[in-house]
Amino acid sequence: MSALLEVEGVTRRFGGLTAVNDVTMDIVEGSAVGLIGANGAGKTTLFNCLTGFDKPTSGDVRLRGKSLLKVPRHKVVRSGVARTFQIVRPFPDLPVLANVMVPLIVGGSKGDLKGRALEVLSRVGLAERAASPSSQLSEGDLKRLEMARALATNPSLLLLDEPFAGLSRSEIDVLSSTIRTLRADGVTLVVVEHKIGSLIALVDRVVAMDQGRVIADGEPAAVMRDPAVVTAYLGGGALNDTA
Amino acid sequence: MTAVTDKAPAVRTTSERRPAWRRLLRPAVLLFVLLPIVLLYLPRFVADTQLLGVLTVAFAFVMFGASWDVLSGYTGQVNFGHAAFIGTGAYTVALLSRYQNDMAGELALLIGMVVAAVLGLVIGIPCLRLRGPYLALATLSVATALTQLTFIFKDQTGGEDGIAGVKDIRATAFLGDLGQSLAELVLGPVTFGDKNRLTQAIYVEYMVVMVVMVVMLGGLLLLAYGKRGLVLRSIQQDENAAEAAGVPVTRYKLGAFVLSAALAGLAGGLLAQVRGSVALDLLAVDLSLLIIIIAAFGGVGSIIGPAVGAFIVVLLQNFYLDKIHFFQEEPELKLAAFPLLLIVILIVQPRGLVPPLLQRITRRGSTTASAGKALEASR
Repeated sequence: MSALLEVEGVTRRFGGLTAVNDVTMDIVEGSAVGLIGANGAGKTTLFNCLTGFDKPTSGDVRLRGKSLLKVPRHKVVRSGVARTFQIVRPFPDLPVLANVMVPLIVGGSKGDLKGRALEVLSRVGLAERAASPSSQLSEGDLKRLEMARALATNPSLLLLDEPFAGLSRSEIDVLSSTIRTLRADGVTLVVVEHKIGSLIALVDRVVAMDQGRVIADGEPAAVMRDPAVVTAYLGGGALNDTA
Repeated sequence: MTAVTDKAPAVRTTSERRPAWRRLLRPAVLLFVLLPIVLLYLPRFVADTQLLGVLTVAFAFVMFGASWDVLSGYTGQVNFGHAAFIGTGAYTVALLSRYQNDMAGELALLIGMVVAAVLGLVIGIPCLRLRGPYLALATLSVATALTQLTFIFKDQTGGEDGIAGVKDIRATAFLGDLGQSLAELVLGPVTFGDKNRLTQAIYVEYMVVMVVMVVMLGGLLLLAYGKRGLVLRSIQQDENAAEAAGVPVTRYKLGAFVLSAALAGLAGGLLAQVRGSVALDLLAVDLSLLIIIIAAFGGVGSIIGPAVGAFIVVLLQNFYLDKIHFFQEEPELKLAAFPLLLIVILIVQPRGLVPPLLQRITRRGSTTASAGKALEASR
């Protein structure tokens, strides 16, 4: 299997702080990778580097062999890398449907844009809220809206930044099943998540980070048993959070 | 599991497919058909040429407000120096009239528009990095800098006196003829012919500025309520999210800057031709602020709002306030009346006059609402 995304020696420094330190990994097409680590481990910074929202101090990020580093953000998106945000960022004054239409318009979709947008919304189970102002959605629905907006860019790689944060148990279940359908549709996923229990049920590989470095990478069960991971997590006390 | 069983909409959308223009049908009919006809025939019933003159100026302000809104209402880059673009258009037309006497008026207008657009680009690029108060300061200082420029090039621009003797619209090749034909159509050739030259000019100017305004508003509404308008609004709502959705934010923001500047330049040039002169008031901070007041009064981010606001404010300012004894004695206080009025409006209706009305009209026939309801009903 070929690597969809190659991350090679990516380092990101902010002044004296090295947030991401020499991270190398390949994301295989069709896979679902979980990215875990305590707060401050460098997950979101790495995430930003992968999606063009931040530039690595050194190293390279390649999508299908092509470097993404000199590509403007909107072109990273058009080349097939979409993301959601840890804190949801809908277009609050636009209706749900219009939120999803924006990426369709700039992506050059022709013809029945509304129909296309409704289809995307139905993929995340939000079609019946199409006409609602997005400011009226619940937190769970907002997460799904973000996912729909990312999906509307027709990504081959979708990066989800803490999709379960702030959601109730039942909302997590609904969202998990949505994410599973996306996987079944062939979307490659990278998911940053603190709720380990919900995460490992979704992914087939887990990458654990601590202080900017990758400390473990492999099958979920094996990574969770890894002594380095246990130590890092016991330090942060996050292993108890197995929601 | 909604996600899995949610197959209904894909089927439903084809039958629910209603063109976007349906949503705008009623306001569009009003704006594109009724309003132009009313405005066209108005001079027939308004014998007061002073009022016609004020209306002509109001049309120019409608263009100022609407062009401001493209940038500030739609991309959220609030421009505190719109007068810079208006003044650039106006001064370019005036200077061309002075130094290139045989140039056609339309060409001068076009050049004024291009110069304003270039200025928009030049200001727009550094302003891409600025937000909020910093952007406001930057745009404000450009207009101030231009005012200083007119002093430096006093011999050419007339400094504080401005430039008089700008060729009027009737000297233009096409627009003047168009205005005259429309005036003759509405008043009848004989009635029009009987009027003295000065009165005729007022009618012709009214017609020309009205036509340009209607065309500009029509174009802006198509843009603003179409796909591009939606993309612009997404930028105004959240730039980062827009980028994550694949929006080339820089290009759209600069595009809005240039378009806003170009249209303001055109309107400014027209106003120079109508007044027959330009002066520093066309570059002044007062004008920039008045445009913001107008936009907030009518409703930012709707194109129609600032247009309606401009109309009301200019009519009030130039006509009705003059009839009030208090303002006859203290004409300077007329300007203070609007900020006060604005404060009242913003307390009563923070979104301005027009957007709440517009929402009521468009919601009635909304495609998405009916599609959503149909979906709910199918469950």
